[in-house]
Amino acid sequence: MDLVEIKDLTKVYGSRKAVDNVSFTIKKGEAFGLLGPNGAGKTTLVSMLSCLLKPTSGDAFIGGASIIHNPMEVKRKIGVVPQEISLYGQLSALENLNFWAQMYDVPLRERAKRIEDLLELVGLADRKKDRIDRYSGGMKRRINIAVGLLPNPELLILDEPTVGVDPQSRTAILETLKKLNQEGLAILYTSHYMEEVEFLCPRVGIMDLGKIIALGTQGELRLLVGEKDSLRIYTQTLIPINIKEEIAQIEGVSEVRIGENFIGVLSSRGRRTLPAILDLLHDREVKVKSVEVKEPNLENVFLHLTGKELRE
Amino acid sequence: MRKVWHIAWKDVKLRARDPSSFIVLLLMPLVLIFILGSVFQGGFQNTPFKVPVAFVDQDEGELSSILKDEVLKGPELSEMIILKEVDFPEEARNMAIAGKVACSIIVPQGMSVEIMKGKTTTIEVIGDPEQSIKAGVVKNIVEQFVLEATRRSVILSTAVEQLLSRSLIQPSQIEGLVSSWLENAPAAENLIEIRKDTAQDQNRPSSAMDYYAVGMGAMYLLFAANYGARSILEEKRMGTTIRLLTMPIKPLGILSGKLLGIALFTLLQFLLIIFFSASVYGVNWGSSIFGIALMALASVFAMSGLGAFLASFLRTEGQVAAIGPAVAIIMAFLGGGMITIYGWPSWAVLISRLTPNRWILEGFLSLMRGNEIGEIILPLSVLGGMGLFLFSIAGLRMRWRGDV
Repeated sequence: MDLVEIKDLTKVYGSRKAVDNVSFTIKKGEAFGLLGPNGAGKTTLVSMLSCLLKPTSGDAFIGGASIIHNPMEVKRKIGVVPQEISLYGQLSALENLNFWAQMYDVPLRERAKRIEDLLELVGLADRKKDRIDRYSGGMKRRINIAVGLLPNPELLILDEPTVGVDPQSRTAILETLKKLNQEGLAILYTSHYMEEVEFLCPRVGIMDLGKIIALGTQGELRLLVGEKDSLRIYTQTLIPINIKEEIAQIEGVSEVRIGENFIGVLSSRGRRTLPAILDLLHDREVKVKSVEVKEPNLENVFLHLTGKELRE
Repeated sequence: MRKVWHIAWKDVKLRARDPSSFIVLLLMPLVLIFILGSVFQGGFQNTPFKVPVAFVDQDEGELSSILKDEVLKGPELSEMIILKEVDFPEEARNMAIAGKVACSIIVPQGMSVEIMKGKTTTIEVIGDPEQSIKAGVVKNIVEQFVLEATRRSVILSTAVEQLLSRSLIQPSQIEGLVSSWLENAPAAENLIEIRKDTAQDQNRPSSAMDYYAVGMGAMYLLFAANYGARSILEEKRMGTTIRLLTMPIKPLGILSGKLLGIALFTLLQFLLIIFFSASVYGVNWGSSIFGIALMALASVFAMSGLGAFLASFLRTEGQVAAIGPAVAIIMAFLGGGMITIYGWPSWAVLISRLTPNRWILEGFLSLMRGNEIGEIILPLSVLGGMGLFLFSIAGLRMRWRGDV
């Protein structure tokens, strides 16, 4: 059963379409990833679903409530974790959670227990009385997520929730979210970190320039590029201009991309293509610094669909 | 409504935990009240007007005795005139010339009889040139006395003549009749009308500390309001406003909570200033607790409105931090919080009445003089109107600009 139903949602700023005719659904208990580079329109889309922005056209329904006609009802069904750490630094974690619980109408008799449970969940129960401005970035992010979970939402919307977080905290956050999803919480997760979406979301929408350019399970999306490996060769010297065509002629190579100090290659023969490419570079006196081989992933899909990388 | 209160109370907690707000909003006004109150105390003191006078009574008659004992030493003048009785005219003249007294009065021998006969007589008044105002006052008193005594003497002699001519009394009865009239005549102190010194403004509080407690209190109300108003822009920057908007609360509720927070914090600060200035400096805020409470609420309402109004026209916290205090100081200056409002030209008075500071001063100074609520209806109404107007504009601007 669909929990979220997005129908032809569009947001126009002047002559620019920030979100262009987007439609998709999210099932109850599903973790859905929205992947795209900065400026793809993810935050605008999430802002409309959070009832922060009114769509120019189209509509979306969360638990059957329209974001245009019943925003208050929508707000009672969702928890939102914004990109910024939206907490009060001079208040303790406990005071912050208590304040936000009041805003979410969490009943008084349940409030204390729910806050304690969430502090346990994010692993900060022993630091609950510390002021937020004495927390590390990762700890703040964890409380930021805990706030979104306060209302026991049907859908948790997270907009790039791990920006600026150290790897250890990121892993902790993702594992917590995975656990919550396994317990039945539906998640809409936006990120430009492919690994996070791959870890958390079985179904993914790829967004670029305001449009959903691909939508499906991770497996379905990988099929778009076939069983191709992605090679990246970092160089120490300048890359000759015409080498792109020469590499493209090597057997198995389907796409070549020249960066400032690297050459990206998509190859159906994977590692077996690598010696031929290295020989060619040696002949053209290009010094190789390192080589990276990647299995087919969502990054390749994005590269395949747009010709550019996710983090550009 | 509960959420509005939670937002407001959270803001009060945040401001109260900021150490700089304690220094700027509580310590600074108390220090300034002390400095200004101490420096300008001289201009507020009601120094008694004392006139030392030397008096020589060569007459020792009925009228000189009245002049000395019932006029100059009478209840109307006894607090002002310090009378020194001297035996010799020369001594009295020297005292005046030497400045030991403001003036000397020499009553000539036979003055009472001469006046009663309707004849001319001269009372000598010698003044110290350096105390000419005081000497002038005494001279006027003596002149008035002589004129009044002469007038009454003329009336009396005319009446006696009439009674004798119509044979209504015998000459032997005159002495007894005059004595009886003199006994029943108006009190001696009423012989002359003493015009009191009007230099003291009846509206002026007795202490500079009282005056500047109100003046600085009003100025720092706007400082506090600016602090609160900055938080609206700060929350926008921090993203907490956006987060609030994703929750089941209407934007108007958020705005109301923020504005209530400004007013609450400002009220708290003002009450602390009232409490500390009263208990530490002995500032007299008046005896009407209800009046003080109403004035405090109206003052806070108007100043919080002004703070929110300013913030609604400024874009960043930095702008509010820079422009807010400047406006607070200008308002305090124009509203009489820095220079006492007494004796201002009419155009300056008119401008001052456009500031909430002036009405806060008027209301509290009225209470300090012992007046009750009935006397502060006008300042209360004006401040209430100002607050309503400023909050409305600020609210509309903030909604229109998308602050909440």
